[in-house]
Parts: sequence; structure tokens; C-alpha cells
Amino acid sequence: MKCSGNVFARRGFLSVGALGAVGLSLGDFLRMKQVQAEQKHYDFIEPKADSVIHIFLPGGMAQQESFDPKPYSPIEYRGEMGTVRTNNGEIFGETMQRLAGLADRFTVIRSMTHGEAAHERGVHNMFTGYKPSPALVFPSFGSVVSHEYGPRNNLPPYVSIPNVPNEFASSGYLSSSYGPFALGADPARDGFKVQDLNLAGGVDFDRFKRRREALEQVNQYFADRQSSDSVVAMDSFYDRAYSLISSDKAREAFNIDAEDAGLRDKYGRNEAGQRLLLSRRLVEAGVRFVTMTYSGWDHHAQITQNFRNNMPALDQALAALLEDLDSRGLLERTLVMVSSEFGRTPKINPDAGRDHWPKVFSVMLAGGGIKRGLIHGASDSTATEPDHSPVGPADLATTMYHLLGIVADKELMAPGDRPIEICDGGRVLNEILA
Amino acid sequence: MNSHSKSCSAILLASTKCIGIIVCSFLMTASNVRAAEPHIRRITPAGLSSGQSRSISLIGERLSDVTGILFYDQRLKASEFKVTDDKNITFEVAADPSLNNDLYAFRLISKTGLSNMRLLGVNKFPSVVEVEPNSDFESPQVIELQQTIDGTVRNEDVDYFAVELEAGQTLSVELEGLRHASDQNFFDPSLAILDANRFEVASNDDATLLRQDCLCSFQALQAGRYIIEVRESSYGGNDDCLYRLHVSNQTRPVTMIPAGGKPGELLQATLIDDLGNSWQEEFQLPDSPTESFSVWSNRNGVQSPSPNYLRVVELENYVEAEPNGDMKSVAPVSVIPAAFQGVLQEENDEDFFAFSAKKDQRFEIQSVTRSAVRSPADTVLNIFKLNGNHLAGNDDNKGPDSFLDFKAPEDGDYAIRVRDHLGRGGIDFVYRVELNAKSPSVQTDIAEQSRYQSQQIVVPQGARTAIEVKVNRRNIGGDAMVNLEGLPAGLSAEAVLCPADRSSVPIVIRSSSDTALSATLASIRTVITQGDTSITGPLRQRTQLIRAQNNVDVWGFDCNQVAVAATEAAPFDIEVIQPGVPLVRDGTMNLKVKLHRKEGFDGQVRLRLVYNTPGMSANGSIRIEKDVTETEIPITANGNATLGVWAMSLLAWTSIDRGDIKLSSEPFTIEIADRIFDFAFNKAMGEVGKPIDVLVGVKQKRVLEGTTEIELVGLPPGTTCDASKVVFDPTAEQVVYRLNVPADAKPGSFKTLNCRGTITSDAGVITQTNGTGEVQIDVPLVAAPAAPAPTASPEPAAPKVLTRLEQLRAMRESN
Repeated sequence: MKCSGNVFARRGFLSVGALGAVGLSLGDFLRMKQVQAEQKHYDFIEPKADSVIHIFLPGGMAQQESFDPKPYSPIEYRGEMGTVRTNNGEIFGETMQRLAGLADRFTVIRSMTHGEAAHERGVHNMFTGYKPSPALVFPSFGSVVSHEYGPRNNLPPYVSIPNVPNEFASSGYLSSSYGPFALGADPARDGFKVQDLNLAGGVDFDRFKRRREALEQVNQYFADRQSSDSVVAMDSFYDRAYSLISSDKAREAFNIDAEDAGLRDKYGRNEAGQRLLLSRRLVEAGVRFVTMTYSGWDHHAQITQNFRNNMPALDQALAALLEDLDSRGLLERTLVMVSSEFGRTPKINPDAGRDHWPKVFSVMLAGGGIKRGLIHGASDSTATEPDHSPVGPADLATTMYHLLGIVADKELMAPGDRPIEICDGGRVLNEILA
Repeated sequence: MNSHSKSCSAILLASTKCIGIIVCSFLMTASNVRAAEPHIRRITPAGLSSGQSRSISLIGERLSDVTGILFYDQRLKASEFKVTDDKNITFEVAADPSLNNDLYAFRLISKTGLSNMRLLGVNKFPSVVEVEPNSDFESPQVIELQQTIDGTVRNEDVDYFAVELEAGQTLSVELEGLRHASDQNFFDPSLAILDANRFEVASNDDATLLRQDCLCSFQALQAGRYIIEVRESSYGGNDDCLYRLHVSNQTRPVTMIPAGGKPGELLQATLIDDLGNSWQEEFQLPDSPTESFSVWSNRNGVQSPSPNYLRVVELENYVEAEPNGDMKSVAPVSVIPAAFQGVLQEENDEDFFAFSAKKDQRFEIQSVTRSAVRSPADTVLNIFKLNGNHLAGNDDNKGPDSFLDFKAPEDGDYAIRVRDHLGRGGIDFVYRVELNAKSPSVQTDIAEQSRYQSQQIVVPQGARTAIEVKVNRRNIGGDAMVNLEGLPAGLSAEAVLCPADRSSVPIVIRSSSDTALSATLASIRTVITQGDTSITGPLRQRTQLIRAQNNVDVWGFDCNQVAVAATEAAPFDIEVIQPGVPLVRDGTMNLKVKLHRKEGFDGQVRLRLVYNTPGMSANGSIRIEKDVTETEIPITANGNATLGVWAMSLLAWTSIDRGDIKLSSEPFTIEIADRIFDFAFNKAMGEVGKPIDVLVGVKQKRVLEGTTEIELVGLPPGTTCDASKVVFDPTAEQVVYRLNVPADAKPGSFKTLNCRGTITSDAGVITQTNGTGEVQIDVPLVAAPAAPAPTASPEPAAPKVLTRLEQLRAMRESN
């Protein structure tokens, strides 16, 4: 938050019209205007994608067991799993049978790379496009999209399924009103109901309206006396929540029971399946950015068995999602991104697992202006480092923003009147754009 | 006093002289259900008084076939053993009066294995059980001085105990909490003494001597009631947070100076307590060197609640003589090797010691301040030429203790400076720095088969098991003979040679078919002989009991013996077919395994090699499923695998009631041989819609019996090869593969080509795979003419196919 200094300082008495009510002096006002004038600003470009489904696999998914197997390297490198031939002649890990049959519909980047081997730092990279900084908390992809575009069809622009996955998935230095709307419940469970989406028991709409008016009066009391992002943010958050509660159509987007039972089965009646199905339902209804997390991929031990436990459900659900989006004509306008904070070590460790390895790993992208059937970049023969065409988190973020019509070089205002690029130093990966 | 041995990272010690074979067998009252890997979670109460017996209850898992207890000290004996059910057993323990105040290790023995290690506290004070409710300051549990309280800190629990003190009387309280913990139940207790008005007169969370446990002392100025408060440091706690609180009218030493002496010496030491008082006591040191020797203060006839530790080594003791704060004030000591000790009395205190050395004389200079002495000082060592330049320094080589390998650059005098890393000081900042000549040593450890679990030896009747013994040589090389000694009757193991170029060796322990069920502690003696001299080294095994975040070892037990149990027969046996061919570098081999099921057993069996040789690795998660009796284990050797013939064994285990029954195969060998083929890949280029010839240079370095074939694998997506596998004439120099590249093939550069050479004979298949070759597939700049009809792979007599380089040369020559 901008520091407004001592409100009783001499210059503070020189106020600018109505701005005086919120404590801005002329000096502050002019300084702010000057900073705004120096901000880099770009108009939106023609978007290729209207929405993003960001599937994040927390813990760090191994590239060797998924999108980038090395079947001809020694066992300590290649691991114990077999491979499956994809429908475009590539190879994936053996547990990705269904995705292998759809490999001609998406792009895999096999040369993602960064330098952060700790979970929280890797997550920061892959949720913001920035390296972690002790000076600033950066906004997540979803929050930036929320900031740039705002809500659509009375739905929150940024939804996380089932919960806010980590501390870096939030609004960072932006107002907290751009933070994610978390379901707070798992759509895979019977009786799934989004928390706070319906009126509390015993409260009818008139009573709800009276409550809201009472709250507004209280808020006004505080707003009249101090300028605080949290008051404004809560106010706008409430506004959006009211819109959501009062719109049947918007509420219906969260009603996964309205989906055809056969389709639910096709996605899989499990966490991966139902979370992805709800993701599709939400973007179809107008949510701009959905972050969905599934399972834990921090396989320091027994990676083979863990992959056999975790991946088949995701394989089924993701394949179903791609087919579903495609059949509805939504894939062309919806970017699906599957990522993780980092990859895993080239060598199997003594616990039959792999440890953290950010030097090279894989990311999958589909739809929303991404080429179909492409493998971009490659790792070397032991999946130790990129062989060519390395892609950093900033490149990935810049490309994602580009597809959404946002120029990542645009600056947003951070605390202390510091204009900060949405994403700094990344380039648009034109090679993977359709 | 007892003789103990402890590694420098040790916290608790196993008595070497007193360790013996204790197997207590009992009548079981529960149904005889098979279990495996019994596990102890809670011991209630957590200890007893020496010279008395007490009923102990154990709660855990898989306890139904427990038959007895293996104590690591034979002065503890168990009786009246009752197995209530799979999770509860009780027994009576008698502690010999000669037992000192300490923690004593034990394991449960079952028909199918050994339990995890746990510790039982023994103290000379009478034991009193905590009585709830005692969580209200106004109504504490009243206790007497010279008592030990057995209590539990549950969630948000605070226990209050009241004692009456006279004016001038001392109250000293020590709490064993973390030292009774296990299973990652990190119990970090906190202790305080409050007066009747609830003012805190003393408190302690962590005492350096006691790790995360607490020690708190106080001298009452006024007579009256004082309250001892016990809680978890962050108000946590659970039913497994057991403690023993020792309440005494005598303070205990937190440090001693000197902190060590020579073998056999009657050491006179100055002891310092946590109130800053000091006094003198004498300790008889053992006749043989001991890295960490436990001693107990007996001030006014009251033994301290837990031991202090002394180094027993052949070094001349020197205690600092002030002033020694700069180099000019110290003179070289008369005898080296030597041990220097002193106290960093105040902030920024620096102490110097001097010694003389000849040119190229080598020393190991190490601080044992934190590890053995358990002092709060974090030493930094620096070596100077006496009154001259700085030569070397170290802070944390033996984290946080310091270690230097120092070679004197010339004849002369040198000075060692000792200081605290943060410049701290105090009366208890005692240090000990040892200056020793480099000397050879050897010791062994047993590789863990499950991470963070010290390896035990459990051998089913009529079968065998295998362990990997790691041989750590220091300042010496050569072959090491490794002997496993002290096995119970019916178990046997042959001495094995660990060659000079290897750091570990497998040992197979066999059980005859009529071996009686029993358990004991065995030792490993390792001998290295060079010329007329030989050195012998022991086993050093640490059992981690508590690990902190990032699996940092916080609390554990060091022992120079390993628990061994002879158990009931397993329901299966495993056999490995000895490979008839070597595993070559960059090669693969499938190890054939046969499972012999006993009647009625149809469970799943898991397999893994007992160890991987350097550069070799094997699939470690192969399972033989129900009703299957054979499988193969893929093994590979990388390009730098160490050559030679390696003794090997295969571990096989099955789960019964969530525990494992494990055995091993008979030993077999794996020969790692050098590569047979050298492959040379030339970059191949072409356009979509046209075939591309991939030329691979092949040199077969050794001619072996059998059929040699070379296969091209890892073809670019969409491409095919009609003859990807060809029979190879060992005298030939190259193979050409024709890739069919369809018009819609993906253009790009593909570094995925590998060549797999195989030699198949009656003895087996030798396989070697190397890569990677590159194929460049381009889109033609202009529309390509119709592709010529594909031709068959060239016969040996066909014109030589040119490499890309040769093609370019030919083009240049033709121009």
C-alpha cells in the first residue's frame, strides 16, 4: 500500500477537491499522476484465448515418468517405468495411455528450466513468472487476469479448485480483491457444495438485502475515515459475491450435478476427473482463469508406484477434458496449461524416488492458440538439462498473457508507486503458437 | 561408572562391556497370530528405579507374536510377560542396583523379527507417578525432593508439582522428555520453577548438555512452597509425550574441565553446575581409549540424573593458564600429541596454545567441544606461525565443531587460537581441542535397507539374509577382512574380503533348518593388514530416534553391536539364476529369479538387490504377484561402471499383517565388463518424403561366441525402418539403416537415435546400448519431386554410402 506519510504535515493541508476526503494531498496526487504517466502502458492485443485452465501438479512432477521419458538411458536415469507411443510418434510415460492417443492435439515443452529447487520458490516462479523477491510479493497469473479483465457473466474472474493452492496463487501487491475465489470443497465428494454460494439457512432474500444495507453503512463509516485497500477490497469482493449469489445462472456454473452422468464417468469419478469437469464448466460459463490442483507429486520415494497411483486418473481426466472442450468448440478459445513447480532429478535416489530438479522439466499446453501435436525443445539424453530451446517461467507467462491479449511488458502499480511489469524479460514463444 | 563408546555425533551410549545376550522368553496369553516387524509406540511408565522392579506397559503395533525382550544391558531383566492383544503387552522389569542413572536400549523379539529400538530410563531416586488433575497452579501435585516423577504432557497440558524448600536450600530439576521420544513425535519440553506468588524464579527450555531437554536449578532465599511447571514448549503434547522429571536438592555438573584424560588415569576434574558453582571430583578412566565415556557426579552422595561425557585418548592434557589471550603470552607445550582445554570465560575471549613441529609433520587438529563435551561453545580454530602469519582455519568441518588437516610448512613453533564463532563466552563455555598425528583407522557400518532405520539382522529358519557392510578406511588402504561375530547358535556367516578398491561388501547370514528362535547382539570386527602391522576396527551403528525438519538427526543411539534374531521359517524362498554372461558398460541384463512358495502361501513377494555396485543399477520395485513364481529384474551398467566380479545377493520380502518377512537369495556374482562395441554416429540429413540413410560406424572390440545383431532404436516420430535390426559381421566397420520418412513427417532435428548391440549365445544375451545419433529432417525449399521408390538396405557389396562430410567433400571436388 502506498505510504501516505504524516497527514498533518504542512503540505498535507493543500488538498485536491474531493480527494481530500481520502487523505490525498496535492503533493501525493501530483506524484501519483507523474508516476502513472511514466508507466509503460499497452492496449490489449487480439486475444487467442478467452479463458485459462491452469492444472498445477504440486510437489514437482517428474518429467522422465511423464512427458519426457529416456528409455535408452541406464535404469538409474530412465527409472523403472515403461513408455507408450503417442499417436504422433513421440513417447510418453506408460501411465499416460489416453493422453498418448491425443498427443496430436497439444504441445509439450520439454525444455522448461529455472533455478529454484525449493518448493515454495519453484511454485512462485510457476505462478507469477518471477523469481521470488524479498522486496515484493508478485501477483499470480489469475490475479493479473482478474485485474486486467475483471468479472464476466457475474462470475468471479479467478477461481481455484478446490482451494487456494499456495501463498503465491494470490493477488500479491495488487489489491486483494483480485485474489482467487476458492471453492472450499472438493467437487469429487458427494453432496459437493461451494461454500458461501447460497444464502445462509433461514435467511430469505429480503433479509439478506437488509443485512447488506446494514453492512454498507458500516463500511461507509470506515471508508469515510481512512483509505485502506482492505476495506475497498472487501467491499468489491462482497459486491462480486452478491452478484454471484443473486444470479441463478452464475450459481448454476458451480453445480456439477447438472452434468451428464456419462460425462462425469468419462472424466472419472475421482478428484482429478471432477475437478477438471468443474473447471470446464466454469470457463464455459465465463470464469476467466481456473487454477486446479491435483494430488501430490513430490515423489522422493517409490516414484514408480506413486506414478501408477496418481497419473491414471489425471490421464483419464485430462484426455476427457481435451476431448470435451474440443467437441464443444471451446478448445480453440481455452488455454489448458499443465505445469508443476519443477521436475525431478535425472537419477533415481536410494529410496527409488527422484528429488527436486528445476534445471529441466516439462509443461503441457493445449488450445487457446497453441499448436497441436508439437514437442517444443528437448532435454538431453538423461533429462539433466535442456538440449536446446530452453524456456523460462517468464517466457511461459509472457506467452500465456499474449494468448489472453495481455502484453506482459505492461506495468502495474506496486506499493511505493513502483511500476512493475506484469512479467519481466520473457518472450512470446512464437514457435508454439498456431 | 561404566565404560561406554560413542561416536562424535552421539548423544547416548551403549555400554560395551555390559552389553550381553538377554533373551527373555515368556508365555503368551494372546492367540498365536502371525505378525512381523513389531513396533513400540509408547512405554508407560518410561522408566524405573535401580534396584527395584516395576510393571511396564507397551502400546504398539504387530505385537501379537512377541516372545521376549532384547535388552542392550544385561543388568535389566524382564519377567511376567503378558501379550494382551496385537497392540498391548505388559511385563515386569527388574533393574540391578548397580545401574547408573541413564537410558537403556531394548527391542522386542517376536517369532518373525525385531521391533524398533526404545529407551527405558533408570534412576536411583524412587519413582512417583504423576496424578491428574495437576494442571491448576493453585492445586499442584505435592512431591518430595529426591524423587523421579513419571508424567505425560497432553495437548495444552501444564503439569504443576509443589515442593517445600527451606531458606538457602537448592532445588535442581532435570527433565527427560525428548530423550524418551520416538517415531518423529518431537516432544520439546519446557521447565520453570515458580514461587508461591507465581513469579518465575528459574526456567529452561533447552540445556545444551541435554539437547532439547531441560535443566533448571534455583537456590531458595526464603523458605516456602515452590512450584515446578512442566509443559511442551509450544503448549503442544499428546499421549506419547512421556517424561521423567528428576527433582533433587543437589545441582548437577553441566560441564567438566579437563573434559578427558588418558586410558587408566584417575582424572581429577573441575565440575561446573548450571548455577555457576564449581567443585572437584575424581573419575577413574577405563584402560582402553573411549571416544565418549560416561561419568556421573556423586556430589554429596547424590548421583547426577544423567551422565556427563569424557574423552579417553592417549593425549597429554593441557588446561589453559591465563593470560593466554595473545600469541606472545604462550610458549610451546612440551609434549605432543596433546589435548588443549579451557573456558571461553567472557565475550570475545580468545585462547592460544602453542606447539612445536618439524617441516611436513602432519596433524589432525579437531575440536570435540560440542560433540563430546556438549558445551555451548561453537569453536573456530585458527593456526598461526607463532607470532607470525595466519596459516589455516576452520569453523564447522565437523559441524559445528572444527577440524583441520594441518601440515607444518617448516620447522618451528605454531599457535592454535580457539574462539567462539559468535564471540560468546561464559563459565560453561568449556572447549577441548585435540592435536593428534594422522593415524590409520577403520570402522564399519551396515547400510540401511529402509531409510532412517538402523539395519538389524533377522534370519528365518532354514534360509538366509544379506546385509551390505560399509567399510570406512581412514589414512589407510588395502584389503579389509570383515568378520561378523557373536551370532546365536544355528546362525553362521563367513568372513568376507572387502577388496582395497571397494568400500562395501555384502555378507550373507545363514540359518540352519533347526535353529531355535533367539536373539542377541553381534559385533563386526574388521582387520586391515599391511606388512607386519594390522589394525582392527569395530562396527559403528547409529539408530536415529528423533529427526527434525529436513530429517536432521536430533536424537539417537550409537552402538558397536547389531541386534540379530533367528526367526521362524518364511513361507517362501528365493533363487537367482547365476548369469552366464557379463553385464557390459552401457549394457542391460535381465536377472532371472525363481520364487519357491511353500504350501498355502500365495502372497506377493517384492525384490531388490542388496546393493548396487558403482555404476550399476537395478529395478528396485519388482514384485512377484500371486500365483506367479518367476520374474526378471532389469539391471543396467552405465558407461563408467566399475569393472570386476561383484558378489551379490537378492533380497525378497512379503508383507504379513502390514509387517515384512524378509530373506535373501544365495550369493551369486555379477561381472561388469568393458564395452564390446564402439558406435560412431554420423549426423544424417534429408528431406520429408525422401528416405534418409543413417550410417553408424561399429567396431566390435572383442569377438564372442554367439550371434551379433545391431539394432537402430529411437527413430524420429513418424519415420520407420524396414530393417532396423541387422546381423553384424564382427569384421565389418559400419551399418547403414534406411529411414522411411513420409511426406507428413515432422521436420526438425532429432537427437534420439540409439544403437543396441546384442550377442546371443547359449550362455545368455549381452546387450549394449549407446546413443545418441542425430537426424535432421528438413522441409524442401521448393516442391520436392516424387520420391524415388525405396530401395532395399545395401548389401555389403553395394557401393559405399557416404557420410555427410564425405558427400560435401565429393561435391566440392566435383565443382
